[in-house]
Amino acid sequence: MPIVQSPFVLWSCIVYMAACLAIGYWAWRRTENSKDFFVAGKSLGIVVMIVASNTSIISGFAFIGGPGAVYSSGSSSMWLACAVIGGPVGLILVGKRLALLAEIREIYTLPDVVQARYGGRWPRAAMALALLVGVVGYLGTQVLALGVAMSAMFDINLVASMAIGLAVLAGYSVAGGMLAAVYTDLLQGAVMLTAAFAICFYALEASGGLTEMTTTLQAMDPEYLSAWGTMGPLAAVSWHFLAVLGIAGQPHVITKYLMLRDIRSMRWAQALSISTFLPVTFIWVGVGLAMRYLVQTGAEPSLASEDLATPMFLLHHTPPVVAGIALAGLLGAIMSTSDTFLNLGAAAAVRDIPRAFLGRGIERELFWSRTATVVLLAVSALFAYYMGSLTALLGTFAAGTFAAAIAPTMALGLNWRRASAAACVSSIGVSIVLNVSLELLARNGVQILPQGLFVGAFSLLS
Amino acid sequence: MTEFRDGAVKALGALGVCALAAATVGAWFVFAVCCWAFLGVAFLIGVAPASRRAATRWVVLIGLVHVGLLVAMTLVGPEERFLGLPAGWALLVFGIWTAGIVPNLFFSRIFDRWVLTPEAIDRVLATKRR
Repeated sequence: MPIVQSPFVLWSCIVYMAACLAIGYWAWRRTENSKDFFVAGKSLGIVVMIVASNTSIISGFAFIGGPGAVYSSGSSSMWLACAVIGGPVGLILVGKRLALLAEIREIYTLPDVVQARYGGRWPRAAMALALLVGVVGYLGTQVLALGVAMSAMFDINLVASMAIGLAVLAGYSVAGGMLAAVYTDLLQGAVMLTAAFAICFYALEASGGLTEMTTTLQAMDPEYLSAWGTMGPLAAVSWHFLAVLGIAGQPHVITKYLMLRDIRSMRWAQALSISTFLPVTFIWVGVGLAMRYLVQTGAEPSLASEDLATPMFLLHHTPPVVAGIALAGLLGAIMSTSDTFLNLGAAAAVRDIPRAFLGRGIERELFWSRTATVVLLAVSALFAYYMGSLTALLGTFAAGTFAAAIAPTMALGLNWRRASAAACVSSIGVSIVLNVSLELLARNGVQILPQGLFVGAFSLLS
Repeated sequence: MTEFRDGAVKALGALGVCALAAATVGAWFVFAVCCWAFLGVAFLIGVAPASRRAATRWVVLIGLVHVGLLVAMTLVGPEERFLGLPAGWALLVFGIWTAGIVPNLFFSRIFDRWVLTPEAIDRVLATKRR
């Protein structure tokens, strides 16, 4: 990744991080108990909730991984961006039920929901463990991405850049809990949306417009911009299916429904969601295709890694003002996912696992939640630094685990009376075992699933 | 209501098995149809019972649109163009993507009937007050 030399880019990132810390301080003054820490005092309006929820799910993928995937596989990755129908499906199946349940009971976490629905300690314990395992994986990947991005942008070593990024993240997440997370997500969402429109404009300008770009790319490789892209139809469709139904199992998204102040405002959820999600998909698709066009026409050298598509494009084809906002948006995208996962992990460790195994909550829950947030961050940083490949494995595994373990448990359990506690525990257990074993086998060269079928989609259907 | 959901859950199980079998033998078209049917049935489980019949009609319509697009995608060659763009890509962007956006835009209009009826909201708020 190239080194940032423009002072504007440097100052954009510094101002952005200072704003996050200021929000953390503001939220800290308003966080008095576990309800404030875990569900932001159940005080969110629909706009804040939807923007925060979309920002946390977009993460670094839309800025780095998504454009990289479009750069390398063409239309295949776009099937993931086309999964916008998952919003209404997730809300009707899970979001609505969670919001109603939170309206009449003291529910702060997904294991709380599972306990209220199924009773007994094992469903709660299984859900808490699934969350904790998935969270460490996801968090590790995000922490590593944060360190690598800052290290490359500011030309400082990985340890120092991780330390700076984590200090800011810890500062506002520990102090302000979920309240700080959702309002920094709102800031991050605003930065990302501002950047999205500008980047899309420059992507079209750099590639001579849509017709010129697609004509060149089609001539280069007809499969690249075919309906399925270079990965083929099975991969494209399984990716699409996992994204549409998997949204109902992403804890950083569905937990936000527990924080809604007024359930009637859910009426506007999808219109708001689509208007914030679509601009980001334009970056995803626009930058990926534009960089491929620029490399193909010789305007850019070949990329050493597909993940360089966005940074190279920003630094070579946008003015410093746009690059500054966009790179701050990139840090925001990574941090917005991390802060929500930190909070979910702390809740699982401090609230849910003790309640499942001891049958009661612990004293001074707020203090221990803040402590657990620091510990989780430290553990994830160690994983990320010492076992980079393992965290990448865990990151992939986490998304599939959440989709396969949580979506059926929530979607069926909250809508079908005959779903039982035993079925809940076994569903979560089977999905974790399938995800871990199939991922490990695949990464060691043992391909059991048909070529192109994603492990997460297989586990979800199983 | 319970009978519908019992049947729907069985249908989900059957569709899941069919999808996995189709993926195993490389029948991606059958896999895609089974996955979309799976999504449609799952969606209907969450719809308010009084509106399920109307919702079913829309789910079938959207499903047929998706299958139609899928057929069109298999028929166009990789070098064909449509609306000045590569044909398969244009079908993906203007077809699958748009078909996903439309339900989001109409969500607020169906909310009272399909998602949460005013009576259901009143019941919950009354329970909360008690």
